Amino acid sequence: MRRYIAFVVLLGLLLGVLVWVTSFVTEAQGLMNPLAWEEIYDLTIEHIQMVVVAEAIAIAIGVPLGILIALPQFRALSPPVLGFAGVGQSVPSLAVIAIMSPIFALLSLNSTGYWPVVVALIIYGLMPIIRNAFAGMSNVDPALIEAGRGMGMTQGQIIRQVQIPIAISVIVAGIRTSTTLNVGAATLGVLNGAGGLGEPILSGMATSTYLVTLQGGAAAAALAVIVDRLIGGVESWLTPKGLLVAQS
Amino acid sequence: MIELENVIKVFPDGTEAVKDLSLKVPRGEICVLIGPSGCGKTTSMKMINRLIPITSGKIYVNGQDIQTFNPQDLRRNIGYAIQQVGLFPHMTVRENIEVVPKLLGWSKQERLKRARELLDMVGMDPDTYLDRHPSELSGGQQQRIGVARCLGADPPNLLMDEPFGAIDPITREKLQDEFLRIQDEIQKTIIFVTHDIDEALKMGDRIALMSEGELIQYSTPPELLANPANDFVRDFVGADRALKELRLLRGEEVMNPTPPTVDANDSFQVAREKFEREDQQTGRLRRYMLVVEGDHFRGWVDRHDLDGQPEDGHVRDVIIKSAATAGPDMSMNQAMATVLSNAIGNLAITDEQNRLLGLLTFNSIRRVMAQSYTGEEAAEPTDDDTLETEEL
Repeated sequence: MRRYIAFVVLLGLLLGVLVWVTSFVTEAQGLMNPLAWEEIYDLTIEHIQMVVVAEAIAIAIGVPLGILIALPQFRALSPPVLGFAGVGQSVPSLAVIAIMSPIFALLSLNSTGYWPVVVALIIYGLMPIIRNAFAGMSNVDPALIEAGRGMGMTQGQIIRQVQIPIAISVIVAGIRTSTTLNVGAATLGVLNGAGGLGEPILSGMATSTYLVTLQGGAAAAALAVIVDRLIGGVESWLTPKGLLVAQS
Repeated sequence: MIELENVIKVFPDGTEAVKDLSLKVPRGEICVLIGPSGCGKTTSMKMINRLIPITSGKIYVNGQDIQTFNPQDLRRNIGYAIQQVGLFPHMTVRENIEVVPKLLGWSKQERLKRARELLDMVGMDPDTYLDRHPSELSGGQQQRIGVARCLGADPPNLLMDEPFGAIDPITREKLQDEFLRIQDEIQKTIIFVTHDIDEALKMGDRIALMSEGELIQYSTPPELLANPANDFVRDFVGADRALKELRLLRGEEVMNPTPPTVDANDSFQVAREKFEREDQQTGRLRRYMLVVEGDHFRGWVDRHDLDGQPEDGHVRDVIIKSAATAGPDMSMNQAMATVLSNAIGNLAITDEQNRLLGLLTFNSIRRVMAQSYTGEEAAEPTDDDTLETEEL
């Protein structure tokens, strides 16, 4: 219950700041004016879109990969894969975005805007997903897998009916970490011209319009808090009842 | 029926885990595989359902070579229970029991019917427990569900790897008794792995004692105790093997079914005459005698209490009431404990209605034991009817 209180208070505070700042909009449309609601809304949608696309791809790659390298026959692949994904995350998010741009240019692709940023976010977001999927699957009690085999389950049946249900909350927790991180990292996308809530942060700073920076920051932070809570809900919804009892 | 023929297992690292093992387990019997850790007992068991591939040799289950089945089909037709129980924590009791029936494609109704039946069999109320999760059960209950699960699809053969391992001794004892009772009904062919010699002696129809991948002795529990094949077996069974054998003996096998008795309604005179007649027959002075009333056990009478009693009294007036009796199924180690803590030093064997079935004495136990060890009648005193005696 306490974490819900923290969530409500934090979200209320951020939205309060946003509402308060946005209420300074005047008819004059001067340089010092903060953004109007419609502009914040558009930027938020742009931001969400970037994160959702990157996460969808990161999940599609990361979850199966994490599960795969946890299987006995592919266990040898786990150190290099986890190492690679680890490097992706230990490099600062800004650097990952900065590196993507020249790589796109080398491949004669459009090196500015949306896609280099999305690819950077995918790489940046992969690590928690792969690591958690791997950890969740390999931490399933070997006795359960042995019991499954001994009763005549195929490997596929063991993965689907035993390992994934038991590991699901850990897997989703990885997705949650990854998505929350990427809501933050995506604000840097503006440096490569990808838009999103980084735009008011950057332009506000560049023009000393701190109300605008505050708007972008508060909106991005509120988004991260909401996303974190939402996926947290999915996590407990997907966790099998028998495991919840065990935890309590 | 399970049969192993010259089975050899060499692991990739060169370890010879099982060396030329041949073993035949007749239908409906429990074969206990036992030995020190690393002796190959678990490896041998796991080769039967192909969890571990055999290096050479043949294994037949119900007369068919296991290599002719695909491993999953083979395993679905052999019940499997492990020490860690391995109940799936995310599934309910019902879903756990239904795992194999579901893999075999049973209908929902058939599966539910079977799950209820099995819960009843292991002594758990289906309405209470079907929808519980393993984490809501005690250790003993989890082991019961483990047993129920391995019987899920009613396979004729079972492999059990220390199925009562991870629980306290009292609960284990209880589960063993219950399982033997169930086995009486279901008559499965069972390979039962344990490292506990007491469990082996109790559960096994036959015991296969292994060491370093070799089968050292394969025999019935009494045979193993009475005739150990070599020093290794003798050491493994333990110096107290005579005491262990007590567990295997039941009251009715050892008791004297026709002990001398007096009736509670006999007069003192009649009772004294009965004592004297016994003395003459046995050449010993008898101190205590059983008191019955019709068929029923009533207690004991001490001959000293008969002295100086008025002539019109009856035995019932001087009866020593004794609560210590044993059922015909009581094992001799329990009976001995009762005898030791009982002032009279002998034990009446009675049925549930308290009817007298026989009499158990130290000497009767000793005689049976000595016979199984030496094959000869025990030396003095051979008279197992002699209660506490005083030389004439």
